[in-house]
Amino acid sequence: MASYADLHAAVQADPRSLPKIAALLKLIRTQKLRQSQVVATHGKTALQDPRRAARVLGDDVWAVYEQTLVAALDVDDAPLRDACQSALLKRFGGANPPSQRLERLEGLVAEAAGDWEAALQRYKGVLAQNPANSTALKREVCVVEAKGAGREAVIAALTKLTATCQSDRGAWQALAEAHAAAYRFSDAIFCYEELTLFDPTAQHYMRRLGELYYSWAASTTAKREPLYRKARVYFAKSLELLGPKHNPRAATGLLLTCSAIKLDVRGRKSDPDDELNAALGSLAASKLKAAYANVDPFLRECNEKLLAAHAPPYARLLPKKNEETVSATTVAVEKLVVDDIARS
Amino acid sequence: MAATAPQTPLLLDPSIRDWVVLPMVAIMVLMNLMRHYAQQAMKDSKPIDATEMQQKQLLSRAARIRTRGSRLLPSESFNARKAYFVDKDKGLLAKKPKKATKKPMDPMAMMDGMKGNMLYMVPNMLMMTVISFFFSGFVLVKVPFPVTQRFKQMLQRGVDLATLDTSYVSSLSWYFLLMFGLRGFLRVVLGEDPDAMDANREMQMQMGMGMGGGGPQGFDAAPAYKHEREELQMAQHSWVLEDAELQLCGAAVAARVQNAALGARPVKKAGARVKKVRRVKK
Repeated sequence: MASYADLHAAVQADPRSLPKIAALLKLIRTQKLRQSQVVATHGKTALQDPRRAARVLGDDVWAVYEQTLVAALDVDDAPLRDACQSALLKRFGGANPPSQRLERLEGLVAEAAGDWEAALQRYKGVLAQNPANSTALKREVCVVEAKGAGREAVIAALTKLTATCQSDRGAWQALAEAHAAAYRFSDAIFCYEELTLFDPTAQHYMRRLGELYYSWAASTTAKREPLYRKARVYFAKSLELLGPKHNPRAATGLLLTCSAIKLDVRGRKSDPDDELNAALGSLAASKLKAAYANVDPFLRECNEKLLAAHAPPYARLLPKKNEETVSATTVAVEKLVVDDIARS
Repeated sequence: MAATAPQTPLLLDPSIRDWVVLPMVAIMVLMNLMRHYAQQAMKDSKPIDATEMQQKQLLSRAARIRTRGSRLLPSESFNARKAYFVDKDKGLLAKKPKKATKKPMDPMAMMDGMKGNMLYMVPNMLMMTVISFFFSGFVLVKVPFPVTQRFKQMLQRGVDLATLDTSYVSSLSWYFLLMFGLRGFLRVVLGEDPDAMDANREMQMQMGMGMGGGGPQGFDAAPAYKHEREELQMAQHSWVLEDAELQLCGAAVAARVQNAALGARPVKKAGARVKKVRRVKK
């Protein structure tokens, strides 16, 4: 199986060869890549002469029309859009009941034009034919979001979608991020936990869970330590699944969590967990230092500042006795949350 | 007896090759092609039922929570989900599942399953009769390697000669070999690669494959729910992620930490017990 780079290079070398373009477009289709500029450019060349395209591509020509239409919407190429749309309408339009695939495309065209009601109408029609059409269900959520209906409406729509399509990972993830943006960390965590069940070895889900627990702990006034401890577990798991060299984000999270556990929560009190906490913190610090050894000087400097503020030994960082113990980060996060709630 | 037989090779008539072996290959290829196109013509893509899809997804989600969640989720998350699914009054699996709109005994649904079977069975039976009628009793080819006596049944169906070397293949066996062996060849000929499926069908496949209970026809939610509820009820929670921290910080640190943790607790307990005993003595 040729890679995208190979096929793209082949098409670049010979931009008028239909079979080569067809191979490239097919790969983009099956691998679900989003290369709208490439598709629009080469799809346009391929479909310039519709008869020749139909002869060379056979039945695949309609898939190419569909693909080029979506790409044209993505890059906002009105003439190309109209050409593809009319060709598809001529071939598949007027059927009864209307073709669901065509209706979805019409809905997309309406969405691109900003005509939300027309788009919703199309999707309603599709769902009346087949209530399990997941693409139409998803497009409805997108329309709600694009309309600017507000965060709560989007969350409601996504909740409905996850109730209908419980094995749709994209829906769960979108819902999680929507909850996180609304500072409902426990709900976001619930969604990400569902996602880890789909793919137990995905380091990014674990990392995100760690981040969410960390944010939750940092923004709550209730018991923080259990939340930080969960965050630490998830960051550690993420690092276990993918080494710190390629996963500096989890390493940073681990560093911050360890320092938060010691500096924000425990302070001068000692705890049986202190040794493990310090070990994890210094591990994260050393790995981060190594990961940032050969990068842009500015980034390295940033990393060093971070390490100076959060790496063990913690004794040097602990506040003097009788000093205010609330750390600067907590105050900053709380302020952010308050500001955002006030705004929305 | 059989030990002396292999020394005398059989001379196979070239016209057997021209009039039996090659025609049989051609017949089988053509029949498979015909079956393929007939299947394509008779296939109709009807949408899967939404209720049924939802029920299957619910079941597979419950199964996921049972198999993976018991290890991957923290205890409170796992218990909350377990309650959500199996709770006696309000649990999702305890509710009576809605009947799918399409009845499982719908004759059309049964027809659908039969169509596929018929397309497979009828030509096969027909061909077998034709082959055994026209070509029975032949030895057609010789496989180019020695095989043990055990293969006699497989390779020499229809020819009952105890002395015949096992590497000779009879016509009926040749038919069976072709029937199963031509699949790879046909896949190449018909150019049927899995990603040629159109997006809609693919989507339906991944949405519909709920794993849980029953085939595509006659999916009955109630017993599947009951089974899953019992299984989930019994699932024990043990969080494996806890070890991730110890594993990450290396064996030396992990051992030290664990020893410290283990050492800390028993000492305390022992001390407490000693105190109690002393008090009793007083």
